[in-house]
Amino acid sequence: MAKFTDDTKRRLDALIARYPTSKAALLPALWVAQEVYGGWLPPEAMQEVADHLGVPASDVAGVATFYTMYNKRPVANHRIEICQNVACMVNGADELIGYCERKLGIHAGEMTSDGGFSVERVECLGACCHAPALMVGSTYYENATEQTIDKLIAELGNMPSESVRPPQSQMPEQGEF
Amino acid sequence: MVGTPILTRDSWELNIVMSTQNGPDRPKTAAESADVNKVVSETKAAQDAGIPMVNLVVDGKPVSVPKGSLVIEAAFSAGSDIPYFCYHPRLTSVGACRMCLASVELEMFGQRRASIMATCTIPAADGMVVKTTTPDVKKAQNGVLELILANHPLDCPVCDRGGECPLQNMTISYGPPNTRFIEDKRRYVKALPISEHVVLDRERCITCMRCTRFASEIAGDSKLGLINRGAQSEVGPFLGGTFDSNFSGNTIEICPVGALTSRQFRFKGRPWEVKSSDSICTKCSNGCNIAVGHRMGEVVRINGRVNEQINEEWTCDKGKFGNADVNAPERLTAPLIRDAHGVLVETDWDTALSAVITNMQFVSENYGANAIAAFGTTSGTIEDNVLLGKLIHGVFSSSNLAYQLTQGPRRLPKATIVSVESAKHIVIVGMDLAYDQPMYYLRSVKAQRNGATVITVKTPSELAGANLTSESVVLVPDTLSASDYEAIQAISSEAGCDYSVLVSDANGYGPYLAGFDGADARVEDLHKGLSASEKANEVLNGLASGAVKHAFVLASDPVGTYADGQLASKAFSADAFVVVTSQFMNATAANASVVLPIASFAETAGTYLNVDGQLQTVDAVVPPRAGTRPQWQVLLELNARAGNPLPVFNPSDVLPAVLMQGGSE
Repeated sequence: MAKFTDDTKRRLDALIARYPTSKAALLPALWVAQEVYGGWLPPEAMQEVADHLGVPASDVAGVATFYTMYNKRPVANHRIEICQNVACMVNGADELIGYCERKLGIHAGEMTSDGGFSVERVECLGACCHAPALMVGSTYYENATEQTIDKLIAELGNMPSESVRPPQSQMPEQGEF
Repeated sequence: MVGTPILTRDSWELNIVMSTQNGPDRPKTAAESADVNKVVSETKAAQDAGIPMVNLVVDGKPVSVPKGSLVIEAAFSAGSDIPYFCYHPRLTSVGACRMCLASVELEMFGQRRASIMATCTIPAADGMVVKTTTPDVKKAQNGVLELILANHPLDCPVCDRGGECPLQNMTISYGPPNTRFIEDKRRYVKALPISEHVVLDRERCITCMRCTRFASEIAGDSKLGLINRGAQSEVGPFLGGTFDSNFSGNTIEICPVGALTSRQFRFKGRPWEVKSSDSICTKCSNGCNIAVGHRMGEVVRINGRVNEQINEEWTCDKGKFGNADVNAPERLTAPLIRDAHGVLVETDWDTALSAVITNMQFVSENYGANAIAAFGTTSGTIEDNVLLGKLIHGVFSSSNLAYQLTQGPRRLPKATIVSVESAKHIVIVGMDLAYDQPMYYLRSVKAQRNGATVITVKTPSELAGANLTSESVVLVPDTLSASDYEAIQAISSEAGCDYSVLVSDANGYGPYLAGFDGADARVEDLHKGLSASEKANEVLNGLASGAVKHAFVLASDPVGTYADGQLASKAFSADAFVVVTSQFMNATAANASVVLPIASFAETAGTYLNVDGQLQTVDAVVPPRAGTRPQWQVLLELNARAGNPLPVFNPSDVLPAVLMQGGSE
């Protein structure tokens, strides 16, 4: 069941045009596919990318499964990704994760039964100067506290998904080469 | 864990006392020896051909290797041994296993320095000094093997690879005697079938990526990939798919551990009880060189054997797994004769053979010599055809030696298997090259990797759109109609190129060499091309009209395979006495008067002429299945019974005469 529309294919073609080979466009193409497929990459998504790029499907699967930020399982609408690395940890990331888990009634790595939220432990977000940091969709929340979490969950609860990262608007239109 | 002895670092280092079985004389599998032989012979050939060489020193021995060779290859040429898993002389280097570590001293930043390097990724350079036996190198090799073995299960006793396993060999020769790894090894489902022929055991996999590189580089279909990363890396077909490639069997052979094993050979025998004998595959016309593994007289597996002119070292799945039909219970094991009620019943050889000769003599005396006809075989050997010719033409003076109704030109193809490799533009007409001509296909993949264009068209009429030039190689099957060949001829001659008709049977030209179809050809004549013959049509019409009273069909199935199937079935349902030799019951045999069960390719000796004109002689590998006889022995006996005892003791007594002067003499 192909989900790529003409618009998706135009976006992919624009990506392919930036690189010397179509295989080189694999990573950004997978971002597009992840967006189109609702935040994750089922095998059909990888197959569609493979077909459009002219790359063997086994290679696409190899790349998609190599990187943890391509999701191989369905994801929640809003993924609360909390940094667990050292700077955030000493500034209370573990407590924050625990608070999230209690508030949502799930364990880290799980998804609420309505698919609204998930809590995930992630590696360094590069915001150590404002630890603890967390990320929802493409938005960073720094110096996060329990109040940040409360506010986030209250505000995001009714909002549509923004699980794709990075959003198209932030991607450079034209590469440097 | 109380009581578990944990090795300290000191005691560990003391343990690096290794087997004396390392170095060039260490135990090697056939595949490992083949790798080294290939490298050494290519180096020699390059030396003779005057290719630019680089000079380096390996273990104190100066060695000169062609520019672009890898350090590990230079070490092989110098007679040193470097252990390896992922390196393969026919695949690109990835440096995945790190086993080939050796000390390489070279000029770096104006200073000579030696360091431990993965020699399968470093091109040999002038002035390098390579050492493969220093304590540092041994320690590094120990460490790598210990790491590889950390996740490798100790199931050698139940592993099909055990006994011919590079990992076992390397561990004995280069590895640590024990492990410090006391944690749990990773666990996966054992024996996961990933295709009709291959089972995968991911626990045993050392992620050397030989199979995935084979799939993308040699087979060209990228049906296997590596997913996930680190210790979780696993090999497999695309998520949820199957490994459906016609070359999947090769990955079993190149796997340096027991991760990929054959479903057919699984638990059929340990490698040391399986004898390996050289043979030629007869599943198609390519004539791949194979090693038939047999245990107690039973064929258990087929492995590839090196022949650079044909199959390099690969096999296709049709050949590798299809030859199991040697053991099929459906094989005929007793001669069949039609009884008074018109039913085929089993009989003994003596009755069957005297029935054949009696009828031949009767027909010859009452209806004349040409009331006897014979159909040559393209699946049997040249000798079989010759001996049939001697019987029908030599003894009974019939000129009705017919062969096949294919409508293409009767000549050997201009495009040999090897030549396809260097073609620039390959056009395949109306066939699935990977299945119909597997070795042509593998060379076309090679050509494609070197920048060639490979196009497949379904029908000859589409050939016009394929932009043929004088350099194009056009590959055509032998199953098209006469008008198709004319169309192809017209289009290709306009473009100034030639087209190559590729026969499909193991010995597609054998009957011509034996004088069938009025050919009386030698191999040179086949290169030039023979004129068309209507002999087969003539004989079939004779059978249909009743003019031919006795037909001897040698290991073929005209009713099932002839292009003009209607004529063939009409001919063989007429009232003639038909003798068929066959391994299996087929449409022609079902209507025959006598059916003679014959030995399979592995049970008989003889010579085959492959698709591009290479003569290959093989010996019997296993004794014939009880009740069957090799075809040449059957024909020898028939000749003798007809009053023509021949001074032939094995097929090779027949062949030289054929090659010198044609077969009908």
